[in-house]
Amino acid sequence: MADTTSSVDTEDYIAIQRFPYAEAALLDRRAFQEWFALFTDDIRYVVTTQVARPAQDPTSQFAIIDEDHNALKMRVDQISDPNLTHAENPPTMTRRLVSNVEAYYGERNGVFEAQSNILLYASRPGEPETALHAGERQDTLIRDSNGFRIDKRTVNLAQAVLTSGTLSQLL
Amino acid sequence: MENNATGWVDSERGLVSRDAFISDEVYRLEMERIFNRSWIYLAHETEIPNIGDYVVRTLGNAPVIVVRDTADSVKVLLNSCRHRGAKLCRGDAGNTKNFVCPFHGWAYEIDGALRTTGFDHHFREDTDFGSMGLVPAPNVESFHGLIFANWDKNAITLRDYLGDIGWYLETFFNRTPGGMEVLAPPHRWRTKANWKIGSLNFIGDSQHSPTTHIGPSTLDSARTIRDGFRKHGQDSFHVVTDEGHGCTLTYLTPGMPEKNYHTHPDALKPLYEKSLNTDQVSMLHHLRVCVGTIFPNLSFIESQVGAGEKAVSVRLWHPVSGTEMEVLSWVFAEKEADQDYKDRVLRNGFHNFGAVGVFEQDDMELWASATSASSNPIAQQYPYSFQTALPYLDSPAEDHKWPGRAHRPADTEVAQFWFMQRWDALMRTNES
Repeated sequence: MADTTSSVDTEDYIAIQRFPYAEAALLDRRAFQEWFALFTDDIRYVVTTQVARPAQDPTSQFAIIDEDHNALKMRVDQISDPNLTHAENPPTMTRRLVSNVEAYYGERNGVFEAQSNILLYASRPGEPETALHAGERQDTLIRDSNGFRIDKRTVNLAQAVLTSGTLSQLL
Repeated sequence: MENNATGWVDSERGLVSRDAFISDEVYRLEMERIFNRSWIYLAHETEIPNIGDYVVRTLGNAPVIVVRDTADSVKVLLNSCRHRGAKLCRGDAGNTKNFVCPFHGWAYEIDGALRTTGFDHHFREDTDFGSMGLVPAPNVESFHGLIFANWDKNAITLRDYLGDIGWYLETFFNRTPGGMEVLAPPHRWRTKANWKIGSLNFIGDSQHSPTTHIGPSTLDSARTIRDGFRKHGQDSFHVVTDEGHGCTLTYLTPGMPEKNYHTHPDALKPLYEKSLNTDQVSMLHHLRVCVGTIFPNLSFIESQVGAGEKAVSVRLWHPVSGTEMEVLSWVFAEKEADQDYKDRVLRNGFHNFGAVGVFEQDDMELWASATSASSNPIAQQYPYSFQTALPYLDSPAEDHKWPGRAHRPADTEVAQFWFMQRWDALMRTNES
């Protein structure tokens, strides 16, 4: 968890807030390779769901994806090529809504800890029901001359069972 | 039911009625004739290592608590109060000293015995409180940590039920003295597909691999899979055993170089030799992928893909209706393996198989499409084809030394049809 005493100043906040908007736009127009280029080579990309336990117990999140650059690249390559995917061909129609952005200064200059909420709306062709996935996103961002890169991303989905099937979309 | 007398499976022509894969009436009969009479997998013992640990699962279509009681034995209890039916546990897992119903307060010991209703003094004096515990599954047994239960009190033992497939299961779940452990809670997802598609896929559907999994089998990081698919058939085979179980073993030709053993950590190999017999160790030496199904709805796979760790994973295809299932998916490693290896097995396992697996996402898409497109009276007039089973059904491999009946090549539908024939036989039994 980021140190919440070190909120970034307004100028940095606006830049950091814009970043997930641009990122969501890339994913929604299926520019997956451009999206993947936003990650550092050291990326760790984690998505979790929860075990529903009694309220007295600590929250029990566990990874359903925990990937490095190579593994994530293969996942991105697979859904980027229409000949290599069934789950994303025809394409899932998606909208990603990102909100509740908070940002803090990270461990060194140029590093930021950002939090946001993401709501993914996904409609599969031929499926009568649409899927909604809501999650809390925690990112470690590194700023370089080209803007921000994502060095670590954790998405904690507010679900114990993925009720609309396997998840082929990126978060 | 109109298919009751004749069955759903046409053994002469290698066809199966689509009704078997979409009908809610068939689902209802499956619960009665298969799921409430068969050994059903529920959990692994390492999910509930401590006294009072429990997980909530489903046995047939009944919600159950799988709990380790004070005697350190595993009990399976109906998750419904004997008073007015509320659930004792409304989450999925936890640890408790007792079960107290939140509705009116009936309290039970963790072995299910009724401790107090809170109003015992208002009951008649001859009330037999001893008979008012949580309803237990009459048969609960473990096979190397794999916990199964059976609602049928006259059931044969789990060992007898597993029979020859046990030899193969042992090779994956009892190959070190410490056994296997679950590395994370199960992934869970719903899919709008009939549960049997999952069981059939794992018992031996080699034909789907190059097309369904065109992505992973084409991309460089999974080259091993692509090469494996190309060579499928000659050096691989199906094994079928009594009760409808079976598995498919790839790359197991005697005399083949032992090129697949290097993916196991060296530190574990002496332990394999200690726990397994020579034939089982030899199988591990050659094996690339073993994928199988324990009738009716437990599947397992050990596969070497991607970076090379051999993730052992277990899948439960839990029927929700005729056209929907909930899938639970666990990843395992040897208890004695070091943490770094376990972490890699887990990550690799998730990447390929699981709620977001690069294999599973395409399976689910196509299984749901098969179920959806079959759910109409026109489609129902045209049965599914299992015809590539027919030329091979009566000609098992004669050189198979290990348990079960083997069939070559491994890209036929022999094992799948074997499963459907067993399913059909059980579905046509009327005695209760």
